Amino acid sequence: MPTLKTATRTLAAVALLAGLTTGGEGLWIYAKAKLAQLLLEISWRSALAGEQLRPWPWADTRAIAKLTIERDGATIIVLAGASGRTMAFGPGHLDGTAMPGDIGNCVITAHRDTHFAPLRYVGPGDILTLQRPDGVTIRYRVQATRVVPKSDTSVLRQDARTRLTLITCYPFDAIRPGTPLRWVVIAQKVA
Amino acid sequence: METNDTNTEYKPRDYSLERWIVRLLLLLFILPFVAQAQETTTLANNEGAGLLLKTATPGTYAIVPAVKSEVHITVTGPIVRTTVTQTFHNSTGRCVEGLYVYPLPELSAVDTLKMTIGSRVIVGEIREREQARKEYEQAKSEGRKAALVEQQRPNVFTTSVSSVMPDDDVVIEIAYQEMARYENGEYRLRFPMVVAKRYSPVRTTAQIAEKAVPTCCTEASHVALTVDLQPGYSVRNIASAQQVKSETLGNRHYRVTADSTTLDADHDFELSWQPDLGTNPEATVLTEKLGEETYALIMVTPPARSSVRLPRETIFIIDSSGSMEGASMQQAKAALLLALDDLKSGDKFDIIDFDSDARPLFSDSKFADASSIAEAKSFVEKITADGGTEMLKALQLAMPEHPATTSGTVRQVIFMTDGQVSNEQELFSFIHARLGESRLFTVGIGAAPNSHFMRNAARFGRGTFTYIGDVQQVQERMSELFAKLDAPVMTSIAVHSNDSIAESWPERVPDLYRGEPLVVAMRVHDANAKITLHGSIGNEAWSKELTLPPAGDTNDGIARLWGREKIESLMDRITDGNNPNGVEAAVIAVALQHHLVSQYTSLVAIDQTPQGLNTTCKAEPLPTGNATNDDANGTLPQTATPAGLLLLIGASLTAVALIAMKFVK
Repeated sequence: MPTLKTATRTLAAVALLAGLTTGGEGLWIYAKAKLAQLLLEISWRSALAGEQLRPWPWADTRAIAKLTIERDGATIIVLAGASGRTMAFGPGHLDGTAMPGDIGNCVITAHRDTHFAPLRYVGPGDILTLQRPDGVTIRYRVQATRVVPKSDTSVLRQDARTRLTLITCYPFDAIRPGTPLRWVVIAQKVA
Repeated sequence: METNDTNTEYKPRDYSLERWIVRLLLLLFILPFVAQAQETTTLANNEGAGLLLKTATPGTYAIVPAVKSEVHITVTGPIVRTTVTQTFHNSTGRCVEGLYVYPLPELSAVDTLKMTIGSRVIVGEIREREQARKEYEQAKSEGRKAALVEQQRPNVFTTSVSSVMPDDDVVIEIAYQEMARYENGEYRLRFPMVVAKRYSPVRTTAQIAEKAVPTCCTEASHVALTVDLQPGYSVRNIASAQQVKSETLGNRHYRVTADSTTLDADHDFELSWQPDLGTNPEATVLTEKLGEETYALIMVTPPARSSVRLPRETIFIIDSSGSMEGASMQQAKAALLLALDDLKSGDKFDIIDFDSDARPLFSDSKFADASSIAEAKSFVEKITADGGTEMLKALQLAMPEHPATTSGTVRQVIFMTDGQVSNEQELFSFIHARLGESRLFTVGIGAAPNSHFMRNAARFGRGTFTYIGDVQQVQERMSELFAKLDAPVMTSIAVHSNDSIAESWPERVPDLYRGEPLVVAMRVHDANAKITLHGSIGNEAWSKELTLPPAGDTNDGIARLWGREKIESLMDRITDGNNPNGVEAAVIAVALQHHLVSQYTSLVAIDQTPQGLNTTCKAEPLPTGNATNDDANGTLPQTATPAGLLLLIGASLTAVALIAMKFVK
């Protein structure tokens, strides 16, 4: 049956095209996350040197800190604002929460499958550091990790302690992006 | 996915390919939804319930879910009275203020409020609306605290909660009343479970340090729900989709309980019950005492099946005036054609088409048979909408002074119109005077029918008002109406009392139909008054004498129902052309006595804390971070990319394409 054959062939071609574009789109998300960090690293160096350069000409955010997870030595440049747009390039600092090292709760969020993928191995006792544009580095010790529903805004609470809270989606291996749970790492400033 | 063994043995490759294609198609269908979910997951569910705390960003609130919620629902006859008590805890470490938000059912208003904030006690009182507003403005201008509780949006109750000190408990109790929905032979009540949202206990850092172990998820807030069911008749099939425990407490008294261990917070709580009907009509009475007065809820239940089907004579009136042109005319004709198909042999019928003039189809009702129905259908098809609305002429034809109806026949007038008339009063008086043994049922057609006219015409006509909003609803609504009209069990029902100043609602009691209990609310001064019911079943007279239950047996909600009905009839007087000022005073008196929110009264929160207690603090807004980012109230940011999913879909699609290409080579 030639018509069936032609139809199958056409469908296969369409499926191939759709498959390659969809797969490409997925790869592009990973590539963008890696690439942006390279550009951000350059911008961060300029910031430490005194004058921050835009990471790329059309950037609508800026680097505010460099996060290091001592366990595996991973370093990530943190951006201002935790919008989906910002988080495509790096972890975002939630507006309205304390700045790194300031009294209060500094909240940083990122995607579980890109920048915050290493968080799944972080546990109590681990050391996290935040370097500020003025060169000062603040050390935090992880006190607890928790899984909360996304409606639990208590983890954003501000009080007199100097804390760092990292938030990412949970479970780490979920294939769908819209899960209702969040993985929260709570760290206290080391005196 | 289960595989079929015999199948795999024969053509394993084919089967797995098929399976992949199915999976792929599924993924393709799921993809758009995933993409959509991503955009909206960070959007706040503003319709939720709970305590909303002010943040530094105006208009943005942090949601504090309840630690504990107690829900007590009492059912008296068809009256459903719900009392919700919720406890919140201020664990923010600061002095805060905000709003309490509660989703209400339609046509319902909170009439009782009690708030405890730390050591302060605030109680809701019914006040005259204008006066309440003045007091509120004055208190505000003097810098005193005041709260006006008003429903700003329909179906949402809000009240402000101020000066909540750190670690204070906030306990809020509200109550409201509605009527159970009746459909398909059962009563139904619904409670919104969004009220009992999951609670995330806020731990201090010290506590977290102590625990230092990952604790998964959060404890659910404790919810306890009780339904006290006293319908006035025996019931069967008390059912709920949620897991509940039901028990019989006594004669016609049941209790249904559930709590958070079994309640599913994602689905509203619904409970249904069916009257367990006997072989004869039964009458019962429940009472509530308020002040010197006794309020009685009189219920008449129909028998499970009526032994005889009473022959009917149905007169259809169809409005074909200019205002009906278009969709309305179409709906009315569709409804009428449906009605013609529903006629049974032995039933008589006629159709009256009116605009500036009224034209009967037969002028003397004919028995429904193939030829008369065919004639009627062609008559209906030819109807076109134009001309004026001379409703009185049509009613005069439908309700002659001496209708030639054989006794024992049920005479029903079904009136399909948009109700655009100017001489309402004249029509009401006509219906009132000429009704006799006929019953008038109004069917409202079109986007904005004059429902005041139709509701009252039906009330004077001892019938019901059915509203059909669009063509899609014609079938459903008309079938409901016909099912009811088909089986009148008892007619000409009257309620009398030896208490000469007794007052009952509705003033003209409708007929009793199969499957649906009838309800009358009555106020008597004499607690030992005797109530007598009269009615006729076909040609036979029926009567029953009721004694009020002893004073100790009291049921919630009856006095309020009576008050509501009284207010509604008072409000109708304004539309009937009475002096609004006189009506206003009367409404206010009833509303104050029965603790009801009305057109002229509102619920005002009054601080009743004893003097001298230092109970206020200066509220600080929570940092915006506490209310989360930009557009979200109460959710953490979306922190996963769809990269993995996209890769999986991409790879599967490519694989399938390659396999398929190989296959057809």
